[in-house]
Amino acid sequence: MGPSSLTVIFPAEARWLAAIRALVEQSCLLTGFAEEVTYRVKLAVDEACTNIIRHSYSSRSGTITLDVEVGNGAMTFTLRDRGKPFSPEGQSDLPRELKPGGLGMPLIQQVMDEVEYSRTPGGENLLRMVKRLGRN
Amino acid sequence: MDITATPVAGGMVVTLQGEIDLYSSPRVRERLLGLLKERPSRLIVDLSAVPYMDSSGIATFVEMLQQVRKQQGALRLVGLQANIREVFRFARLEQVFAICDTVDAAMA
Repeated sequence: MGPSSLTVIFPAEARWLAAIRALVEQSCLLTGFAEEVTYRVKLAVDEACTNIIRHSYSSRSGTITLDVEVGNGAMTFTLRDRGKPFSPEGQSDLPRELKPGGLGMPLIQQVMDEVEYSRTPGGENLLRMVKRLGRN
Repeated sequence: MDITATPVAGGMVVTLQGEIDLYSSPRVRERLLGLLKERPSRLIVDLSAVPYMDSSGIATFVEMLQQVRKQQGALRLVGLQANIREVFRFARLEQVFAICDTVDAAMA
């Protein structure tokens, strides 16, 4: 199977997350990921979208663009939004005390093989996450 | 998300059905906080019909655990599917919560 990609633009609203999870799940299964790995990848993309809705847009209206690319033995998920700058630096560690919240980015880091954040000159947040085939 | 609550001797069994994410977790939170106002000595949450949970779901249960502890009660989570159990493990919370296989075990 050669490289392929798809792009979806959706409102930054929690009610859309189930549809995005379904898309990620089907994409992963079609690419050949095992079911348990598919679940983890679905979780990671969901957590990243949740972070955008809650922190980048702070529940204000906006859109999220998700690019899914398959190629070179990996799937790459790129999320773009035009909300506040959000850096995952310093957010990667699990909370030291018992508290609600702060788990999203550590979960993403544990699941994905590569996680890169950048703020584009055009004012977009860009989060690129890679999962390689054959990894747990 | 379907939520049903059944009073039992010494507590309350809450059965959740459906996915728990940023969209559904506020409803779960609101309902559980409402049930905790009745100060059950033991809150048993049956998750066997929950196929997916993200960190907003975990955060909801962390908040419930803190609330239950303030009330000197107990929170028990039941029937976690393997994928969800793994999320608790990723969050290093598997040992923090009392997790049981069945409602009967949680009531024992």
